[in-house]
Amino acid sequence: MPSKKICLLGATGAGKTSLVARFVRSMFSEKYQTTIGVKVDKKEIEIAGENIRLMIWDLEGEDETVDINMKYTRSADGCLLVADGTRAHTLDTALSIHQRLTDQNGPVPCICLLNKHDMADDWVFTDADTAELDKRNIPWLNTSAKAGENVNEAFTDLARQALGTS
Amino acid sequence: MATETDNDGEINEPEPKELEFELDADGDLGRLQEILTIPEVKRLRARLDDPDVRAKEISDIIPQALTLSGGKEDNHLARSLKPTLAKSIEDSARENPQVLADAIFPVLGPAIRKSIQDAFQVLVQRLQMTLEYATTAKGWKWRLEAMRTGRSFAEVVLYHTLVYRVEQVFLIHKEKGILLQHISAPSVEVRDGDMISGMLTAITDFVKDSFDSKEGDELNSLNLGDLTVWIESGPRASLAVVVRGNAPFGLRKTMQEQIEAIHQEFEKQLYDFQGETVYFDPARPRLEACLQSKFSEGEAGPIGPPKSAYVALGFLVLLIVGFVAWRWYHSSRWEDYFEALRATEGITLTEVERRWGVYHVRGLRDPLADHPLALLRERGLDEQNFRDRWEPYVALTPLMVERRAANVLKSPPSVQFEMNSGELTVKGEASEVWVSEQLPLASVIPGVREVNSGQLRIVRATNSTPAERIRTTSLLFDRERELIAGQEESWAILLRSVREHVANSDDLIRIIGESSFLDFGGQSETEADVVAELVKRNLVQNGIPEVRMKVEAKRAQAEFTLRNSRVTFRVGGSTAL
Repeated sequence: MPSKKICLLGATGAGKTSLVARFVRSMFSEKYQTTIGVKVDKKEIEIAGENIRLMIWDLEGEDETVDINMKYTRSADGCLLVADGTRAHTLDTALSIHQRLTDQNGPVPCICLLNKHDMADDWVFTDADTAELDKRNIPWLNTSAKAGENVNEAFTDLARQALGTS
Repeated sequence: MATETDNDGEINEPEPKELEFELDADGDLGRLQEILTIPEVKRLRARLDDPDVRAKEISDIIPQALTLSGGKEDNHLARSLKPTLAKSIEDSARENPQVLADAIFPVLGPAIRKSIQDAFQVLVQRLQMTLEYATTAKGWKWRLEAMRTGRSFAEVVLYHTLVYRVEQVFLIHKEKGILLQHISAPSVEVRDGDMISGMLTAITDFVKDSFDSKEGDELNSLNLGDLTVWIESGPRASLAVVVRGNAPFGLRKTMQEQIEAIHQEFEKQLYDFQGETVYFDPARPRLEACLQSKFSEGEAGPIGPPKSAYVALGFLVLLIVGFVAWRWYHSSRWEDYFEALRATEGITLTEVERRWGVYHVRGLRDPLADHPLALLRERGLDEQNFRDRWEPYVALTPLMVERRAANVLKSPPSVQFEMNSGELTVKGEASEVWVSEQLPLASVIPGVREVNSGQLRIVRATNSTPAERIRTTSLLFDRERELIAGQEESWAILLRSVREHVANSDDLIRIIGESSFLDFGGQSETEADVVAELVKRNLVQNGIPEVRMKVEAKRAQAEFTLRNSRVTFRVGGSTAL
């Protein structure tokens, strides 16, 4: 069974860990994210009749005081860039991380998740934002860890890209 | 048609043009061929003959050729070049070692530093162990062992402390943190190896980033209680082992060898790794080489405690088994004895108890039954371990009635008794006197309802002496001290025999009284004495001198169970006494 390294990147509080918790049952405590900066989980899924093992590296969130350790993204087969749909600057953070990721690793399959889509009243992202993502050739999905919206789809689509089957 | 060579020396072939005219088959075509081919042949010859041109051409295609050849599975080019390269390096090193030294210095430096670090770590570990065990009781014990066996103390300490077990081995892709292979020792609880590999890689990166580490430095050891994680890294993959106990540094060497071998054998798979781990299945033997273990101190040594412990344990087991077997044998012999006692007629066991190794037995016993001690001696059992207490009783089993009949009736050896359903059959031969004097008493023996003497042959005692007749006489009295009916003839024979004997002998006639009746003081002897005295007085009244008689009384014998008094006679002793 092939294994793929998937990284979850984004601003602090964007909902990365909630997305992982929705997708897998974790073995390690979340305290590792605040101590060593990452927590590794595993999920086996099936794509086009083939089983694939996703090793999900859930990195600590980035904010004004904390820069994520990009070394953890080395040789990643795919990344999920998570932004909080209720906080505009989190998309900037996601794009900034994407830039650093590309600078370090070269082109890496990515999907940007515009999370917390269940909070429609507080939603701040506009068509201009998604147009920026399109311009940079970054596929995007509206997701909600709370409602389960597009969570499985996000991981599955990324796995397809990592396998080169999409 | 012409061939052009540009400034770079490359040959530009002109486009071939279609011939649009007909040629003469003989002359024209031949000339045309000459025109076309001769310059080309000259040009090719010049190209082949000129080493500079050839060298330039070949130098242009060598990199491409090497790349193509390197991609092939058999890698024929590498094998072909190996001797030449080896020779070339050898010559270079001989002629100018500095060139080679400079070239490999970036590799050699870290390798030497690592080797020195490892050596120091071994030294420090040995020193720590020596200090740790220098002052403890165990340390002194090992010091004595070192003196006894002639080995150094450090050797003995290492010998006793090298107890470890590699529980798990992980082969991890260094950058991705993906588990390539994983094996574990039997019965080891294994958590998710994939996630552990990922976290281990993350922790390794974290430590390297957190502490100002130099290029090439790697986290190679983690300790938690008696668990140690050792990591050996290569350029693309790491080997991590989880060890319980104190692992020897030889294990580290094994790990280094295996990770190097894995990099050699799986170089292409490691560099082109796209997440497919199945390609690393053949690496399992390499991991298994690290799955080492060493148990129990002194296992491999000539004088280790386990050996003596096993001997002691074996001896103890033998001792216990022997003791249990002896107890069982001993106990079964006593059980057999008690079973025999229970089967003995005239004995009824009511209680058997063992206290402090001594059997205490209580029960009922007919005085005529076989004696328990005699049975005990027959079986060779120790009397010291036996205490018995019997209450007398009269058993009515056939054997007991027969024995009682023989005892009460004072039967001669020629007489046999057989008891069956209350009928006592008397067989054999007996004297007329015995038949007349003793046999009538048979009917009063407990358990006897009927006496059958039809099979008894009476022998006329014509030649019996007066003394013999006196000795066989037995007179029974009731509670009123009256002679029990049917004994008148016995009295008459007695009187006659006593007269005859006294007239011809100086023997003393001893009149012996017995009684089962008690006087008012509870003494049966007094009653026996009175009855015997009564007989004596009657004999005196019939003319027997008193001095020739002596009255004796004795306690009623246990076997004398009739409810009456009895007087018997003995002949012997002198009147002078």
